[in-house]
Amino acid sequence: MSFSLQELLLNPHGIANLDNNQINQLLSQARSSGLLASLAIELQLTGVYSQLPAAITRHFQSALIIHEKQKRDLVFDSEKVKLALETIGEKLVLLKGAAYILAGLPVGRGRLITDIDIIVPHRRIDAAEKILNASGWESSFVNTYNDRYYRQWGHEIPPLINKKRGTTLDLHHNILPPTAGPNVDASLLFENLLEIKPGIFTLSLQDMVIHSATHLFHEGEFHHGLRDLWDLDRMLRDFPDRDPMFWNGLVARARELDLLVSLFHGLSYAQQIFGTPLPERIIEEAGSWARSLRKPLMDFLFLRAFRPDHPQCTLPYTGMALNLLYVRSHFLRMPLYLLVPHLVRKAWMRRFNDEVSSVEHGGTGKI
Amino acid sequence: MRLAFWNNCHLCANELIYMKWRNDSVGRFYSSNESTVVYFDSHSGDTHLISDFAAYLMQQLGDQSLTTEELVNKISPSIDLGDSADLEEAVSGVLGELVALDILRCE
Amino acid sequence: MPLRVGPYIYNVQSNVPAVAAGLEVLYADFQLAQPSDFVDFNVAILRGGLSHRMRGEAEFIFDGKSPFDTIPTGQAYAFLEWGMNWCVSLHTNEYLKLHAAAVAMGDSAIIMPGIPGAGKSTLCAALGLSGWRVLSDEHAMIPPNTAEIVPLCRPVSLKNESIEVIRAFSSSAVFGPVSKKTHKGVVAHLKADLQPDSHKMENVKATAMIFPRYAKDETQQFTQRRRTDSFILAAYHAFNYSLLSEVGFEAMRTLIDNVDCYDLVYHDLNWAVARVNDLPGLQVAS
Repeated sequence: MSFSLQELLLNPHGIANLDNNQINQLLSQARSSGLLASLAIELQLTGVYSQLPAAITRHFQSALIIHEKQKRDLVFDSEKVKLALETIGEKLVLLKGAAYILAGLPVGRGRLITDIDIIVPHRRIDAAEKILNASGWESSFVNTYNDRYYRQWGHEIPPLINKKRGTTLDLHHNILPPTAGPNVDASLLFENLLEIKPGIFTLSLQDMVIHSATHLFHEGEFHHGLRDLWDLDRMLRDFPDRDPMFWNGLVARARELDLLVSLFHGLSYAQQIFGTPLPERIIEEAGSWARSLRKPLMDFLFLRAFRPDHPQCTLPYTGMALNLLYVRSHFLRMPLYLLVPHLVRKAWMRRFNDEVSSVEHGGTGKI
Repeated sequence: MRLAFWNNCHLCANELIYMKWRNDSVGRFYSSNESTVVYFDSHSGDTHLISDFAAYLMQQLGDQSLTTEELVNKISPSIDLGDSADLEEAVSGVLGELVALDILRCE
Repeated sequence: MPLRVGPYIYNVQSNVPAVAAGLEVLYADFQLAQPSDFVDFNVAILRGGLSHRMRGEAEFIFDGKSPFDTIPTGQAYAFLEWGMNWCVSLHTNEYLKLHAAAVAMGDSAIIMPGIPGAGKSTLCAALGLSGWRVLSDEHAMIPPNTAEIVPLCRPVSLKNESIEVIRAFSSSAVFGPVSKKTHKGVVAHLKADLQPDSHKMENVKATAMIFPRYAKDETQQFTQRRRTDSFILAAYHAFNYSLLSEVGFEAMRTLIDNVDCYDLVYHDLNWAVARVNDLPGLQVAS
């Protein structure tokens, strides 16, 4: 009998039919896809978790402990960032994982994060960086090429790291780089913010979905492709209940932000991989788009990216597809003349950095 | 992880005297009859080694919001430091350190 | 090959001959798990395609991915051991995990936290060759709300001069493959399961915590130290103290309350072993 992580996320009861060897593979796939804590939550919600032996649940527990700690650090750090931004008259707007978790949305359950993504208006980015520096969040990039690249072509500044806390802040001024095809007017995003705690905001429900889809299809690294698609599925099942007008405005909003293509990609693949329920009307609109000529190639590429990041789950040509996607996402982000030097430089730097930073173990020392 | 010593204060004691001190979330202490105490701050998740005097002040503060004067009045019967001005300076020094460590808030 | 290592089962795979030879020497007395048992960690050191072979390189694989860069085949054994540590360091949180060696005599155990290079592994090896049971040279795992250690006996990792120091300390020391020019210098592993109860699974009660420090030019000292700063120092050398939050704090409290804490500054290994043997309440076999 074969199993898939995708199916088990949707129907956790299926774990009862797996033998130890398959459960080992399942844990391994979920861990390397960043979905171990998410799977644990689904097992708990369906009551299956308590029937599993301790030798297995301890691995889920380990991931849940990491999730809980991240959540707790997020509460503390976001309060600090909020106070810092308040002094320059800006509000704290969280993006992605940090937003899902702090808003207490189902999509945030078990969601693991590596950094806190926030956004400020473009013209305020220097002031925001300065005040965050003063509050202990310092730029990590001494490497001048990366620093220049980020500032010149990016939609965010280089990561800011709080040495005291060990947490990382990604300060954005847009959800896509200015060099990307779509021309997103980021000021629109600030019009419909949701206040989730006093002084702390997220994008609107629709913008969160559109951003998630955009991020997914303009992202270079697909290690978390399945995780990001799971985010989309969780949101699309939950948000219509929170806002009866959710579907109505979604397409119009994506068109307004010039992100319709990304949205349709996202909806279409969420439906294909997770069976995400979509209203008839949306399927029609997305369907007419999907019948366009580009779909077969896109399927070839993306259906490979949305498998667990694990060799047990690779289809033929997965390596090639992932490489093409990496190139594709760069292509979408920047004009062609920039593309080749950057990729060459990245490949070279990655090799170089790996040699310097091979580690014996992670995470010691910090209290 | 940092050490808080009351004789190592960077803030001006006079400025702090009229402020109110409060502890957002009373954390956990580990003491073993030594001159230092381990404090787990449940708000930040950080663990600190603080002086026993700092720990004593925090326990006296509890979850209340007090000025330095109020806190000094509360503890002076049980502490003999001679001059109460000295005590006030020492107390606001320690509390200033605890604020710098994100353990306390002053409002 | 599914190996039982303390509470975990590792499935170890390799097509590098030096790794197979090392496993044969160092893991000969380990228990094998049943094929149907649940495996906790799949690890492998593999030489892949032609380019690997031509450059004499191999990869450490965990969860089907290579978390480190490729490694010269001559260092493969050291990387397997590091990789096996890494699985526990990063992916288990049911215990408070101190970065420490742990040894036991009878039913009492001592914990020896230390920064790399402080001599904890050397002392652990010497104690292991002097009748002590090695519980771990890397992870002292404490179940929360106990002062007990979960045995996780694997070979002891020794670096550079300490390899010769241990060879000189005991002629019966058995070593696995020597990995040269790693980022930590020369590394070799000592067979450490030398006692009849080396692979017993029951927890052992901790009675002392010793912070060893090798110092060539200092006066040797064995002195009691304060509990509160031992708490902080042990937490600082823990893998997951901070991650466990309140659970970590309470686990450390219970542990520290139940052990006596010492500083051990040494350069003569025999002297250091004698100090540990002299700890009160131990039944040291002579």
